[in-house]
Amino acid sequence: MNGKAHRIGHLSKIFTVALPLLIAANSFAGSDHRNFDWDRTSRWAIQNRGRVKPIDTFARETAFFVTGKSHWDGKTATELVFSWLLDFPAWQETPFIQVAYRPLKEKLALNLDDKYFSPHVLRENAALPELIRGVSEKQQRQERLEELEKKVVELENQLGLLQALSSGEAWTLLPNQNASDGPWIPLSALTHREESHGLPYPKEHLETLRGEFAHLSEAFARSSPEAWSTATGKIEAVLRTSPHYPAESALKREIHYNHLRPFRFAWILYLLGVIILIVSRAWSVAGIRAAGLFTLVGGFVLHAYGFALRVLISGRPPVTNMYESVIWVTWGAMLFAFLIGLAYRKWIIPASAAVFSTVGLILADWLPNVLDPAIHPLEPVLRSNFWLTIHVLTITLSYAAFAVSLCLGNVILGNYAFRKIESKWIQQLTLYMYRSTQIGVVLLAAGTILGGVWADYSWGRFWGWDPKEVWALIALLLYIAVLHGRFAGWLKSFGFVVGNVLAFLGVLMAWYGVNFVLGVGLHSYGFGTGGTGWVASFVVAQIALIVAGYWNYRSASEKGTLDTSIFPKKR
Amino acid sequence: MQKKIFRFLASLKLAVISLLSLAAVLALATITESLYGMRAAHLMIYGSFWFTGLLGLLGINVLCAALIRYPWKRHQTGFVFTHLGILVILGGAFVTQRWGVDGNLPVEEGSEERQVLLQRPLLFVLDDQGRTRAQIPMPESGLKREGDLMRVQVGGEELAIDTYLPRAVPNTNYVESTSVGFPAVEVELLSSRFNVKQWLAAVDPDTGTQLALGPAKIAFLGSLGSKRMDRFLAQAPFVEKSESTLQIEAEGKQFRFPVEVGKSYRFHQALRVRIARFLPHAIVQNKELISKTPEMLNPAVQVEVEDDRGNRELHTVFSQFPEFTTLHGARDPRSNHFNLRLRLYAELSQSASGLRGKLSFAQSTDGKSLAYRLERTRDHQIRTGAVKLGEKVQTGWMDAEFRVARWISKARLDDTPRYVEKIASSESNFASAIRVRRGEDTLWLVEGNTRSLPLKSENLNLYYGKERLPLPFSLHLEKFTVGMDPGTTKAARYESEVVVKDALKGIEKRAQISMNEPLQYGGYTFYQASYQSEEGRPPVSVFAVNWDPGRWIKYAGSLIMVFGIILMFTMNPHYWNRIFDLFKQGKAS
Repeated sequence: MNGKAHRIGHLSKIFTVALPLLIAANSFAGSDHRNFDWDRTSRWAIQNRGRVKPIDTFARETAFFVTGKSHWDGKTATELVFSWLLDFPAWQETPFIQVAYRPLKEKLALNLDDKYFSPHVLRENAALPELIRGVSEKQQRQERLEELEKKVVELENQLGLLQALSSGEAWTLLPNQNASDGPWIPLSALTHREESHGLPYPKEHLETLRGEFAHLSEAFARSSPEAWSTATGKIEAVLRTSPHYPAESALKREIHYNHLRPFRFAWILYLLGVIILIVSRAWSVAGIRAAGLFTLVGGFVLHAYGFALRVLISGRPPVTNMYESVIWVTWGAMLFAFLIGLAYRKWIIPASAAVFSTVGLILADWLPNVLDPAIHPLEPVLRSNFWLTIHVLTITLSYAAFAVSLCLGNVILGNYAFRKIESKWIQQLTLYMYRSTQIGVVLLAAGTILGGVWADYSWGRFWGWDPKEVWALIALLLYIAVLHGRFAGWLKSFGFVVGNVLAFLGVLMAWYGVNFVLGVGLHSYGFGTGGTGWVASFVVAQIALIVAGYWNYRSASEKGTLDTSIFPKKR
Repeated sequence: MQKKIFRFLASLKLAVISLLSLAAVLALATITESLYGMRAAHLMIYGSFWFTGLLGLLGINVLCAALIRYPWKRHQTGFVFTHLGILVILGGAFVTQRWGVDGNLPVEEGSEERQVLLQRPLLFVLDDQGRTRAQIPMPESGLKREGDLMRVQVGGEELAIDTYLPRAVPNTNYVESTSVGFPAVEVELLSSRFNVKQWLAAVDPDTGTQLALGPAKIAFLGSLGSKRMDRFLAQAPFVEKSESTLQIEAEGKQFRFPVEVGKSYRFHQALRVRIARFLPHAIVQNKELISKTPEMLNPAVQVEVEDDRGNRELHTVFSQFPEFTTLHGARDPRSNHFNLRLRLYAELSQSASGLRGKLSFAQSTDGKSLAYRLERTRDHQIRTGAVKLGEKVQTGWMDAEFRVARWISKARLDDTPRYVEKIASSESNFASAIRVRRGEDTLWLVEGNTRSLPLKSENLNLYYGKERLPLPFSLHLEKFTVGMDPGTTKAARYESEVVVKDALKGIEKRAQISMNEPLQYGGYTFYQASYQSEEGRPPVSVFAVNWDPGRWIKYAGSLIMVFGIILMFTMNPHYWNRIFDLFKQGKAS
């Protein structure tokens, strides 16, 4: 085949006809692209889901959405999405599309033991079109979807995304020439002559892009890293001529954030610190204890650094979805624990808070379907609002303080349940617990009122009985009831701790339950599904611990050996 | 005894009990809201007198708890401030609830509005001039109510409200009629891409009814006599009559004529119109207007209009381009005699309108049989047959099938709205509805509906809708825009360009209202709340309108309370007393 003729053939239909033919001839040679310069292509900017981001982020999110993993069979996410663009025919028979939900597999008569299915199998599936039709009707009628139907939508979106990826429609790589927030142009526009006619690029740039993308697909097919690098270099040069192409430093920063995984290492350090501190308690060696505390501080610093990166990348206050609020609240809990711990010189305070932060960060790390780690643009109602930022940060910080209180409460309950009851030690811990509850009450009262200020400013009502604000109020009322119960003499040492711990369930409901269980109200931007099982088992475990503690507490108090005053005696 | 009651009202035990019961009631209220919606939660709990009572009890408890400790000691400063703050907040909330305004103001783009819609629904009785005779508050509740809810006197007759639905969706349904009726079929179109179901009612037996459904046009011709039915079932074109109509508007009056070449019609007393030419597929060739094919692709008609004095106008009217000037030589003002507006209504050929085919139904005059007729655009293939209820028939366009779900040869409209008992869907476009009974007759009114009520003495109209509050000024919506997130179709911004028109003060003020950026005028605040858009209509921007006399009381109370809590928790009595002592010493020395 004559090289020149070959290229001309490519120009019009780069990704549709010519490529599959090419691949058929080279499919063995074409399988290895490991020594390609993927780092460079992963730094290209792409406009995707309302935001300009590096290909690296786009590829990770896309790969995760389709396969449930951020890499596949030794390929990085970037390599994976490029091979879907350039060599989709080779993927037709490969099972890589994740369908994990069992009832859906049953409906589709798929092999229940398999987790991944090939595009071919799903396309040929007889039951899928009928299911999709039923769901889209329901969506038209604006009805709430069942779990199965949500999974159908998800699968439909997975297949749609793959289609858009292989056709180039999803590759919005060409920057808008006029406005920084204008729509970018997808790769597919290059291949359609009529469409590309009106593209706001100089003719020679368009020719370069067309030619070089053709080279790119050739280089990919021939597995030639040199040709790949040449083509990517030329494409990048053209893309960078746009005035609205993002700064290299911003792209690098986001890739740095993607690679660093600060929150994963933060929880590993927290966990390590807690283990070291427990060991140090058993052996009571000062050096080990210092090492444990040092590890906790390290986790805290990394946690803060990751958070700062995220704020810089998204360019906005970081508490707008469940994932971000988990990151923020776990960080806040460590902050308060260190502060109270410093005031009383007790390592047990940060150590017990670190347990909460570890669990929170593990959930954020391991349940990406429930807690979406992707950075999204803000909902309209949340934009550019000073009061929103203040109100949300204050309320969530109060959750953090209550979380510290919860952890200390549980340490005390653990003592009641599993060890000989040490009243003095318990009274000390109860004091620390009380301090963090106090911080929480002040912040929650202030935050709820600031929420009123925001609601007044944005919606015209100071208080509108919105479920999110009502549950924040319920949590506040519960804590206040506990504080008053102490003055009324109804709560003694054990009851005060139990009251504090139970009041946290109100916080849990305000934080998680309103968005994930009730699912109504103006705060609808934070809604999601899933995780109910985890939260329910936490609640059950919590109540079990209280019951176990009560058992021992009662038998000890019947003997009359217990000091039931709540706080340590004043010196 | 009084002392005992006072002590109880001031007790910590009452505080704990009322705090916990308030928390429990609030939790219940949020569940109620998730099941029945905001309005129901408000009617059943937040707005109920016993809820106000519970808050009142808490307020009395807070007040007594503060009073019983009088004279206050220094270290109680925080305590006093906190409790005072709570009282002030509760007072502010009461002021807002009692005297505040909280409503909606929907304004269509390009129009002006001054009527704020409040929450409470009323029954308006209007006379035939549109004047309001009476406004009657309706029985509201969070759940469905039936029975003898209320009776009202209208025009000397008694109407009874016998059903109240808090959440209803208007519903069009046809049922068998025992007296007079019209034929109706419910047709379903199914394919892998869509599934639509639609009632077709041939209310007018002459014209029948037709509409575009999915990729096709669907028609129900009503009852056909045996001759017409034979032609309907034949595999040959079935055109009953010319479907093109010419409309002429003269001095605000409209006249319509069938387009038949050569015919003349008189209209508007002294005028005469003659249909000179009809061009189904008009194009300009060699500077001359001709019809390229007989297919209805770009229909145009040329007409002459004259009066008795010999004035004459020549018009060319295109159905596809109603905005074109139709008058020949329009630039010369002398050629315009009659000041007419002409419009051509013509049915486009199916291939031009992008439709895949046409599906028609007709029933026999005796109402015993129903027939269908399928026409495919692509090759003009025609298939006809008898309809069997519930049976799927291939249409021949794409993979679509049709099915007649129901057929009523003599039907009447049943407008009973659908009751949404629990909110099982994300839809929120339901409204309340009432059923009005007068003797044996009943009629349904969904919020926003008007129904005529012919009485013995006069004709009245009933309108069921939200209570209105006229503003002393009006809001003109110039433009409404929705901004998207970069490169997506996800809404990011809602912005309304408005002009406040205050005739009393002679003020016209331009402003922009967007999310989080409200407009304040005349004590009212206008917030961008939502918007409605409908195909072919200008968008409607909905503003939340608010007037809150309790706002600053609540803010003051909040500040006092938070200040008090901080004092209470940070000021250790020992330090506190010492600071006071130091202060005193300083004064003394």
